[in-house]
Amino acid sequence: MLRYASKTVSKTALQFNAIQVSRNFHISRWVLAAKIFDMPAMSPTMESGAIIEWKVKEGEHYNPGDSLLDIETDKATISVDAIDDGILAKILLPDGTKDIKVGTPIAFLAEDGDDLKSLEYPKLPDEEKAQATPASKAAETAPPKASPPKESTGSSENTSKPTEASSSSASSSATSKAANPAQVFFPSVERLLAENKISREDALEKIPASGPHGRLLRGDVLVYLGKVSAEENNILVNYLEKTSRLDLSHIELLEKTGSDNSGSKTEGKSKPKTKEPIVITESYPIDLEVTYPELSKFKAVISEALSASEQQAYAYNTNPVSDLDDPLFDDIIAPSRNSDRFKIEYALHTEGDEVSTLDLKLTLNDSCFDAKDRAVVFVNNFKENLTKELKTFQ
Amino acid sequence: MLRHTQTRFFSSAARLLSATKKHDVVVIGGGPGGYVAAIRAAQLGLDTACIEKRGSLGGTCLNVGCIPSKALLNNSHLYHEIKTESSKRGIDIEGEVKPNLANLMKAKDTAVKQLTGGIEMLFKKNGVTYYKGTGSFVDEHNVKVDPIEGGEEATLEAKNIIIATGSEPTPFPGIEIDQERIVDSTGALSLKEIPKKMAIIGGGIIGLEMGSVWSRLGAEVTILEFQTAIGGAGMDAEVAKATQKFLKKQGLKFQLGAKVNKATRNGDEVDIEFEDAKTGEVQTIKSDVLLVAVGRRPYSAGLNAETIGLEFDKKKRVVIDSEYKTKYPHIQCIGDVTFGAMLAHKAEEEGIAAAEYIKLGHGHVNYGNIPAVMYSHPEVAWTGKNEEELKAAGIKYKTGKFPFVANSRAKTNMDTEGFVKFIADAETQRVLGVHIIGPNAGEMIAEAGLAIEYGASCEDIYRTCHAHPTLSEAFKEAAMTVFDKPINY
Repeated sequence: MLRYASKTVSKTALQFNAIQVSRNFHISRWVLAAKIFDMPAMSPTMESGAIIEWKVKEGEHYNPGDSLLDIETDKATISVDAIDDGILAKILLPDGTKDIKVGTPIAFLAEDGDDLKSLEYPKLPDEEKAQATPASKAAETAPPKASPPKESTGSSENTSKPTEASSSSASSSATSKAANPAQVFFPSVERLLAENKISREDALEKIPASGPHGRLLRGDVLVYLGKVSAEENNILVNYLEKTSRLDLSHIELLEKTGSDNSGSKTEGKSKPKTKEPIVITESYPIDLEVTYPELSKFKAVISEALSASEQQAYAYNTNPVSDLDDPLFDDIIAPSRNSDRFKIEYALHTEGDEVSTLDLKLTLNDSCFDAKDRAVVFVNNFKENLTKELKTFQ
Repeated sequence: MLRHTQTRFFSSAARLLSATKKHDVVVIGGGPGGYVAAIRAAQLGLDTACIEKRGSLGGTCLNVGCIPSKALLNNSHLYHEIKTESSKRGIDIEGEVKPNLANLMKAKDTAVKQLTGGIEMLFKKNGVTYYKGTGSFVDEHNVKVDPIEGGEEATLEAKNIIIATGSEPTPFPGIEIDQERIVDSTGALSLKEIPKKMAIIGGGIIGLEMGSVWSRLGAEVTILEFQTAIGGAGMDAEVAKATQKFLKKQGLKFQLGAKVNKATRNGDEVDIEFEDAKTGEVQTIKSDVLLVAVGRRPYSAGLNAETIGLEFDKKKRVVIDSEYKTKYPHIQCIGDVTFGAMLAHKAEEEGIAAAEYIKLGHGHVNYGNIPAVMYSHPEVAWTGKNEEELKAAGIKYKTGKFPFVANSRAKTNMDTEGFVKFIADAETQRVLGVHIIGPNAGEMIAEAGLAIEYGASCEDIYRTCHAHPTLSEAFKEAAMTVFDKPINY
């Protein structure tokens, strides 16, 4: 096993998770087959890199933690360390080789104790490919002109619809990623590709995948073909992504009751035992002349507005829409429907006969968790109710 | 002063007596979340212990929940079928067909016993140390085991702790459960006799399943539900309505929008007073048994979580992050005692993910694709989104339905109630939700789960060959119906 340590040589400080390339566990000792060591991806975005120097020579033994080689990417120079022990059986690409694509075989590794002479070297994918080339080449050239333009024309000028769609989806969506080349296509994807004469290779290369583990979905192909807007597909994909996680927003912490905090450990962290009740205050301009005889009528008008707002506040449904919330459950743990959520007080400021402002003060009952929500509804509605009621006064 | 020293002496002596054992992972709670987490952790090579105070493993699910209720549901269904459908199917029965409650209960207990014993075997096989007792925090790294059944007292020093203490039935304020006439879900599984009249507060899955059991055995069942629809949160409105319809046909009575004020036991009867939530009109009914099934609440009694200052939310759920970590990174919490739907399989998934987070730093649970099943007959099952959720999120969708009455296998089974309903994205055909009422819907929903997990479209489902004649063809044809025409309807 190998571990890539970030012994960064260049200045760019990059943090890599310890990526582990596991040796093929199915290969038992007695098979005596060497294991192909591929160019590792040092970061999710790394596509190719260069071998600076092999630190272990061909045929040499290495121990866990030994640096095998230094690799240079566009961002940093990174040392690749071994986790297990073993033998570097054969180096395929020597020091200084550049532009090695991730996944390209760079060496053969052997188990500790393997006899290098009798070791069987597995066929490299290249060799297999070389044999298969004529056939696959023919397949690649088969799609006629109707197929979407090749990358070269598409990237220089956004001429045709498909490329536009695909490039926009690729740029705007964090949820779409490169298609996984190992996948078996969905029947719908296969059909769409066949109907539009897109080869498997082209599809894997050019269509960003939004399914799990780089799976191409029907929607991805439709976006590529310009039949579905990339934007709408992104909205859907993002929505599904969001709802695939546990909703841990809006957590309302349980207030610790004073008696619970007997331990000294929580000291300092615990909240003060006696809490000041929350008070919401708000001023409303009135600017109205009210003579003394009219005062009681005026007060009746205000109390009318107060009670209208109060009704709205208590009728307001404070349950957030979420399937994690059970209305029935809430109903049981909720304070009873008619218990007081807040106390209302108000004061009128007068200048002569003119009532200038009304100061509203709501003192919340902190034993009701929905008190604040309802108080806010009250405050929001009160202005409108007041204006409406004052009209009747005039 | 003297007293002080004495207590100190005793406490240190007690500490000496109880052995301290070290483990990589200690799981508190042996329910579906806890035991699965423990086994997975052990499989990943961690020295794992599991503490359970019930005396048998499997938690609520296995002992007093999913498993015993399914035994009763299946057998009461068979009884009801034999009694009411036999002659139609060409089977004549001589003599009387009647339920034997004692043996029904025995069959249930046997299933439970075998399964709980099975988990103990699995613990042995995977090398999980099982402590029978109550686990409580001494500090962030030490958990004390107060033994039951003559187990050993021990203090476990753990590198990682997983809290999986589950949930318990929510009590109804003012109604006292005596487990005889006024019962909760546990008591409803072992009534001593078949009640003539049974009232159930709560039209959620538990209430409807237990209502089905006792109604099939002969009870006259009335469901009192505060909401205006049955099924609880998550059930598609159309499905909820259809469910209520078929249950009504089976003889269950429904009082929706009913706010229960009080219930009191009078000898062998229970008087229940409820009012219409809208009109305020008060009614009283009598019943032999009242089942209170208004939901479940997180359970963490005896855990002593306060000493280490674990955070709870207002519903007493343990506060966690997306990797199930509490405020202490090495203490995780999963299942009913924390956030999310209270379902055994959701807890299991989290148990596996939590163990994998410890060992591998990565875990996977897709909360958008957790199936729910109600084991009435026909069963009701769904996964993914319902129409209401998609409307709220502003996602354009299309639906398609295929009824079992047009399915050949359902016809030959003479079991044609229900339908398969697909909800898919209007543009891409991606399957967003599937809702099924039908025979074996709980099994069929697995196909929907797989489709949603992999981002399949309706086309992908109907281009997959389904065997003939099977109920699953209805699933395929429903997928066709969304954007195309079905073949057989």
